[in-house]
Amino acid sequence: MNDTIAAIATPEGSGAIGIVRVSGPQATAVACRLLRRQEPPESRRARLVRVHDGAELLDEALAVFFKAPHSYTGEDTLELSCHGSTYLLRRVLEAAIKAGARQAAPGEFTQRAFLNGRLDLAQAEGVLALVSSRTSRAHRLAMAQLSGGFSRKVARLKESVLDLIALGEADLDHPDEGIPVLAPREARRRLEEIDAEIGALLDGCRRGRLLREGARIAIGGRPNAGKSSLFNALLGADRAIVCADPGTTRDALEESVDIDGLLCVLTDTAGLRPDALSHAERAGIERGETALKAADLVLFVIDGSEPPCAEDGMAREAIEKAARMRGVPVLRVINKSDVGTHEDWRAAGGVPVSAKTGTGLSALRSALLAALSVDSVGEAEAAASASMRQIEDIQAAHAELQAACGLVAREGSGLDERHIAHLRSAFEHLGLVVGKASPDEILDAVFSRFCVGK
Amino acid sequence: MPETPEGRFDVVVVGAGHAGIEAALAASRMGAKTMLLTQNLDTVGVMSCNPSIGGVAKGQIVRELDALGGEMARNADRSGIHFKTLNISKGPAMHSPRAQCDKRLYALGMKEAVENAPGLRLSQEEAASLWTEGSRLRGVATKRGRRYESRAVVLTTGTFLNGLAHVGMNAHPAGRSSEPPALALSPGLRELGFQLGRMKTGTPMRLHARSIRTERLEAQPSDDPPAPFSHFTERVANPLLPCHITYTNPETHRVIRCNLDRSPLYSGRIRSLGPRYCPSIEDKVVKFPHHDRHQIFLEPEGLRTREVYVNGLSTSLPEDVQSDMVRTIDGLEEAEIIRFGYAIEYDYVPPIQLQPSLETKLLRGLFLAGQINGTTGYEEAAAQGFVAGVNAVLALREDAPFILGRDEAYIGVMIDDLTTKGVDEPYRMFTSRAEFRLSLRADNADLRLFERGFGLGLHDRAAYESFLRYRDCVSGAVEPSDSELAPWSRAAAAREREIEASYRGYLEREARAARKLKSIEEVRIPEGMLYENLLSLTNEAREKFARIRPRSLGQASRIPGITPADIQLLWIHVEKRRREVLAKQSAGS
Repeated sequence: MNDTIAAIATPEGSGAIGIVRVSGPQATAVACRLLRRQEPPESRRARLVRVHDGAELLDEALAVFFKAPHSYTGEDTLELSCHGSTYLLRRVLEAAIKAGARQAAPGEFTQRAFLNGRLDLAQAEGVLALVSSRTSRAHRLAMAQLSGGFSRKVARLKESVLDLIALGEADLDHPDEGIPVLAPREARRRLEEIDAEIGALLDGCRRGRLLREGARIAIGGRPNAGKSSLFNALLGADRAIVCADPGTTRDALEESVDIDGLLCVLTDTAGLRPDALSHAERAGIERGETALKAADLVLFVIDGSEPPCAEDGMAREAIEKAARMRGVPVLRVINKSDVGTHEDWRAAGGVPVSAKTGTGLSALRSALLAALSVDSVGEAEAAASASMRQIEDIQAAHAELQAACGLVAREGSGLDERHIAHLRSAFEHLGLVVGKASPDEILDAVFSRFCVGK
Repeated sequence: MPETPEGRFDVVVVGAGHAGIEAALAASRMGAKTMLLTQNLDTVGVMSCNPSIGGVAKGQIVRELDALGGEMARNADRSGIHFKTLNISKGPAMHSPRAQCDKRLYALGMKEAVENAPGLRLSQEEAASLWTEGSRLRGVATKRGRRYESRAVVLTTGTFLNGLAHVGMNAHPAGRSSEPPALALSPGLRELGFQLGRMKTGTPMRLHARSIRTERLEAQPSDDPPAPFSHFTERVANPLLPCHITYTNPETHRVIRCNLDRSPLYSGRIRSLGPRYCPSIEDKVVKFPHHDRHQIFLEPEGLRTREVYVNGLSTSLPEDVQSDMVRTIDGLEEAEIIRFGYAIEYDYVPPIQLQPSLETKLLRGLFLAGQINGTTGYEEAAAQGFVAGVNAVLALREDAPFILGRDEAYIGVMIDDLTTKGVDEPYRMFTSRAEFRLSLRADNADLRLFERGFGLGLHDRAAYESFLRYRDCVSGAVEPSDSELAPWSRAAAAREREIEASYRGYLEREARAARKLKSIEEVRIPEGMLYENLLSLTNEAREKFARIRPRSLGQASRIPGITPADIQLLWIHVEKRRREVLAKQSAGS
C-alpha cells in the first residue's frame, strides 16, 4: 500500500464530466506534475486548473485535493473533474501513471479506505459487493453486446491459436511419441496468417471506434489557406471567424458534425507559421499541434489559387511528421477552386473544393470517409461493439503474434517453447475478449475499463 | 492387541516405494528417528511399471530432488543402462534427462540407501490402521497387532490401497502383479472422515529378449557418454544397452477391436478414472481409429535379465488376446510373453484434503504422498515423498512448512495443482503445466534449490560452499578454479550464462509475472477462517473456499471459478482478522 493508484472513476462513455482519481503517498507529486505547480492545491477546495501531460495541455478541469487522512481512502487524494471525453480521460490517466501512479485494480480505492479505517467492514463490503455485481454485470453486458460476427471472428482466431499451441505443446511434452512436427515453413505460414487476421480485426476495431466515438478530423495548413472557411463549410454554420488577415484563428476550435452518418469531430487549427506574432497565437499553434497528433484524419488545406510557397512546405512537413507517428491518413484539400487552381497544385493531386461556394464539398465528404476506410460500414459496425478493454486485449494478442512471427522470420526454425510462450499469452488475451478465461487471468485485465473507484 | 507400543519414533513412513523411500530418507537425514514399514523388504524401491526414470518434465523433477537432497537422481545414475537427453533439438528449458535403469539394481540401490541411513529403521510389516485417540494421531498399528508410536505418519500406499488387478474379465485383489493388496487401511481412513476415490492405471506385457528379432528393428542407442542425473555423479559406470523401436499395424488393431468385448475397460467392469494421456493400447485404437500405427519402444529391464518392457502396449485384454496382438507386430512375430499386462484399480484420497505441506487438513500429523494423492509416475511420487518427509519433521519442530512456489520448482507447481484444483485423472507432470517453465530448467535446478536443501540440513557444508562459489561464478562475480568448484565446473558456469542469455527477455517476462504472483501469495489466510460467516461472498465462492481452505490469497485466486471480486472481499476479511488478533495481543500484554 505504499504505492499510488489512479483510475477513471466515472463509467466509460460520453458523460459530460469524467473524474480521474489519484490516491497514495505520491498523490502530491502527481498533482504537482499534472497541474504544473510547486505545491498541490489547498486541501478540500475546488480549483479551476489546467491539466498537463509534460508540456502538453490536456484539459481545463476542476481539481480537489484531499490531504490525508481527510479523504475517502484516508490517503492523499487528487480528484480531477475533466471534460467527459473517453480519449481525454485516458490521456489524463496516462499522464498520472507517467507521473508515478499505477492503474488501480477493481475495488482498490475501497480496500484502502477500509484498511485505513475510513470505512467499517459493513460499508466496505457493501461497496465491494456493488463493485463486484456492477463489474460482473457490466462484463456480462459487454459480452452480450459483442456482435455475433465479431465474437465469432475472435473465437475462430482463438481456435487457430489454440491449434498451433496444441501442436507445439504436444511436440514439447511428448517428443518420443511420433507426433507430427510442424515444418518451419508451415509454422511460419500459420503464424503469419493468424497475425494478419488479428491485424485485420484490429483495423475493424479502429474503424468501429470511429463509428462509436466519432472520427477526429484536424484541419491544418498554412495561415490563410482557408481552413476556417472549410471548417465552417463542413459544419454548415459560421462557427469560426473568417478573415483575410493571416493568423486570425488563435485557438483550436472543435465542433461535431454528422458526415453521411459518421460523427466527426472537426478541429480548426491555427495556421502553422514560425513567426507567430502574439503569445496567444503561439499558444493556439501549440494546441493545433496537439490536435494534429490526436487526429484520425488530417485535412491538409492549401490555397489552390496561389502557387505553392515556403509556408505550405513547412505546414506539410509539420502535418506529415505528426501523421507518420501514428499512421494517420492525410487528405489534401485544394481550396478556393472558385478563384482558380494553380497548375502545380493540379499536378500534385487532391480534392478541389470551394469552401466559399460549396463546390466539391460532397466529393470531399466521400473522400474523407474513404480515407478513414469507413465506407464498408458493415464490418466496422460489427467491431464497433467491442469495448476499449476488448480492443486492448486484441492489441496485446497482436503484439504477441508479431513477436512470434519475428522469431520465425529471424531464425527460420519451427515452433519451440518461446513461440509457444507468445502464443499462450495471445490465447489468454483472446480468451479475455470473448469472456472465457481463468480467474487469475481475468484478475489483471477484465474489469480495467469499469468503475474501479468504488 | 498389546497396549504397549513397539517403540517410539518421530516419524513412521508406511510404504517403501518411490514416495516412501524419499520420505524416510529425508526425515532421518534431518535427524528424526524414523521407522519405515513395508509389506515386503524384497520390493523396496521396485519399479512396478516401466524401467525409466525422468523424461520430459519428470527429468526436471528428478534434478530438483537432487538439488534439494533427495536420492532418486543418484540411484538412477547408479543403476542406469541407457541415458538420453530428450528434446535436445529444442531450447535448453525443454532438455529433459531420462534413464532406463536396471530394475534390480535400482531397487537394490534404494534398499542399500535406506538400510544404511543412520536413524532409519526398517520393518517388514503391513500397516493395518492409523492409531488414533479421539482426534489425535498416535501412530500406526500393524496387521500383526503391533503398534508404532509417533506424532507424524507418512502414508505412501501406491496402488496397494484396496488394489484390484484386472486381466481380461478376471479380477483379483492385488497391490501389484502377484502381491497382496492393503485392504485394512481404507475403511479406517473413511471412518476418520476422509473421502476416498478410485483410480486406474495399467502396465504392458514383458517379453523374453531372445524371442525378439531385434535385427529387423530400428535401434535407439544411449547417449554416450551419458549425462548423469545427479549433480554429484562423476560418471556412469554401467554398460549401456540400446532400446528398439517398432510399430503396431492395422492387423494389431483388428485383433484388439475384435476382442473389445473381453476388455474390462470397454465392457464396463472398470469404471474408475484412467488417464487421458498414456492410454492403454485398446484406448489408443478406439479413440484414434484413423491412426494406422502406434509407436512401441522395447526397453531392456536389466543387465542380468532377458525381460523386455513393451512401452506403448499397456493393456488389460485377456492373455490370449495379448499373445495374438503382440505377434502381429514387426519383429515380435515369435514373441514369448513372460509376464502379462494388467490394469489395476486402487483407492486414492482426493488431494484437496491436503495442505500444501501434504499434511491432511483433517488429522494433524498425517501426511500423504504419491499415488494415494491421485498422481502417477515414480518421479511425482518421489518428490511428494520428499516434501512430506521434510514437512513431517518440520511439523514436529513446530517450524514453518517447506513449500515450493510455482515459480521455484516443478515440484511446487505439482503440489499447488493437487491441493488447489484437485485431480480428475491420475496427475502426471507436463512442462505445459508450469507457467514459468523457461525458468524451471534441469540445468538450473541447483541454482534454484540447492540453498533450500542446505537450509533443511540435507547437504554438507563443503558441498554448499562449492555451490556458493559456483553460483558466484555463474553471476560472473568470481573465477574460481575447477577444483574449488567441484562437483561443479567453470565450463558448467559458462554454459549456464549462455543459457540465461539465450532466453533474454523471456526470463524477465516470467520474473515479472512471478513477482506479481508473490504479492498476493504472501497474504496468508488464517487456518480457522469461518467462511460460512462471510455472507457478502457468493455462495459458490463461499462453498469453494470452505472446501479447499486456501492457505494464501494467491492459492485462493487459483481455485477455478473464483473471481477477483471474491478475492477482494476475502482480503478485507483476512486483514480485519489480522487486526483483531493484533489488537487482542496488545491488549493482553
